[in-house]
Amino acid sequence: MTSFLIALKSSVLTEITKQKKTLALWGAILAPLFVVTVNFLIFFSHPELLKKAETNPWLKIAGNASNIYSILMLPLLITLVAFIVNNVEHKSNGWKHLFALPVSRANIYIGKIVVASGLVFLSLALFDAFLILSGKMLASLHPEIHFENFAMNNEIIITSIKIFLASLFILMIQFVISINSKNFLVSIGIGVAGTIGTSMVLSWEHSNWIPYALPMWASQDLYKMDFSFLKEVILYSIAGSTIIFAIGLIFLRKKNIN
Amino acid sequence: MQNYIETNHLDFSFGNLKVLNDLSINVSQESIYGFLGPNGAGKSTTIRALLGLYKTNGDHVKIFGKRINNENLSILKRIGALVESPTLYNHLSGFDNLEITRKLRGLPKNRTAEALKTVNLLQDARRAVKHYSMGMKQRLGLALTIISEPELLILDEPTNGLDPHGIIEIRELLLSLKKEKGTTIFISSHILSEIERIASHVGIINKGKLLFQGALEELREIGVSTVFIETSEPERGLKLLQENNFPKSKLKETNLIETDIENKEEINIITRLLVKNEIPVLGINNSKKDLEQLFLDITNTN
Repeated sequence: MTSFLIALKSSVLTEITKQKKTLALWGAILAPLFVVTVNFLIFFSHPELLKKAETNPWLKIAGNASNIYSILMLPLLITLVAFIVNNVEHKSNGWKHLFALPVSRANIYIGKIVVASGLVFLSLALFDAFLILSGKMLASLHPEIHFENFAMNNEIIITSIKIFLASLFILMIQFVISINSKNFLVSIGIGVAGTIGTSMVLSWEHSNWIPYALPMWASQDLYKMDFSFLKEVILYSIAGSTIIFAIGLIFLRKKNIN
Repeated sequence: MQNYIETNHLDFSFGNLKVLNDLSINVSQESIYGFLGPNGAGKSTTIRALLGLYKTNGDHVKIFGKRINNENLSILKRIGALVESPTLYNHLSGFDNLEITRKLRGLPKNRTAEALKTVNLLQDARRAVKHYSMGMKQRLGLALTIISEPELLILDEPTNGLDPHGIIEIRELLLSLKKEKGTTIFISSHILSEIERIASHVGIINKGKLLFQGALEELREIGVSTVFIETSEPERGLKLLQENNFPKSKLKETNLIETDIENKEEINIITRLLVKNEIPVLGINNSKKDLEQLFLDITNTN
């Protein structure tokens, strides 16, 4: 390993240590649990929604849960995670100490992004696990629904990876805001406004250009049974997040640290 | 001896506000340099510039003889720094706090326990920092700076908020680092009496300008003394002194003349002058301004 990678590994490990006992980790666990549980209760109490023989019940429960998760819960979780990984330094005046250590600013920056995106990825992995488990529970509680005729585990997982990639744009926007502002209202406010505002204009024909709408657009591919990664929303998200990443890094390297 | 810290006509501004003005300081290897100034004088700004936290241009700042610029990793490796209040993650234990710095610095595992031992926190290492007292936090902050056994320690008011017992502890720790490891220490403070006990050299800053720099003895030397002369003929004595190069002489009490001198040789001149003119000298006494007064004088007149 090159020295940069060794240092990056330390940077990621120390960021993980800092996230012990913080709300970010709990958020990544509870957000998918909440959505999947509500989703489960809906179909548990209204099994008739799944009973038509020709419908794939997996597609129904997964599509419904992914839709809600990617429109609201995921962008809000990203807002929270991006805020917390940076706020841990703001509230302890940590930047001056970190940047006076023999570690490059880029290393600290990337380490934090890796941990933030890792938490988002974790939440999506848990989302899949909870979702598949909830489907299996529905199958045993309502044997009249024919889950066994269909299997969608791989498709659910692939769609979540696509949602993850499509959410990187939001992650970088919220991250760069949060690293530069210690004000809770600024970073959380922009994240909440972006999420709620976007959910109100989803039917607008250009809403696929709004960063906060990209995870929802990626989740729609599940209904279309489209599992390609070469999709406009994903490429747009990766390009957008790369540009914001670069701007954030250039700015951080030049910044006077208080 | 090499200069470990060197600033060369360093200026620094926040927008239009000039915070550092033509600052040239020199800290030589193995010295303990006390950087003194009232609150808001520019001490913390200077320290941030030394560490590259504030961006400065060109050759104005050199550490270990190398100019500090964008990425100073090889320089920062040899420095331990405490900038203002220590950076502590309150929700983590003292041990975890040190581990974060140890891992980022790539140091061997045993350094954490050793640093905890040095600052006498081994027993409380597993408690969350939010339950620490002020003094314990300050000691943990110091442990963060010495974990790498640096050649140069840069400490910004490390005794801030400590009780006298805590102040003594930190002072002794610093003195032993200097003695045992030859650590060069740059320590800022707004309290002279604290610096006076450990520093070998002193720099005094106010409003971004360096007003004095030199060995501690040199600072003591410039302290102008006052001489009190007891005589039974004060009027004649006073007139004589005022006419002979001591114009500031004045009558302090009925039989006591007060005058300022710049060095001890002048006491001899005064005595001989009085004796030669047959003015009875009943007593002579000189008192030196203490450093505290001197510090106030230096920072007030500018």
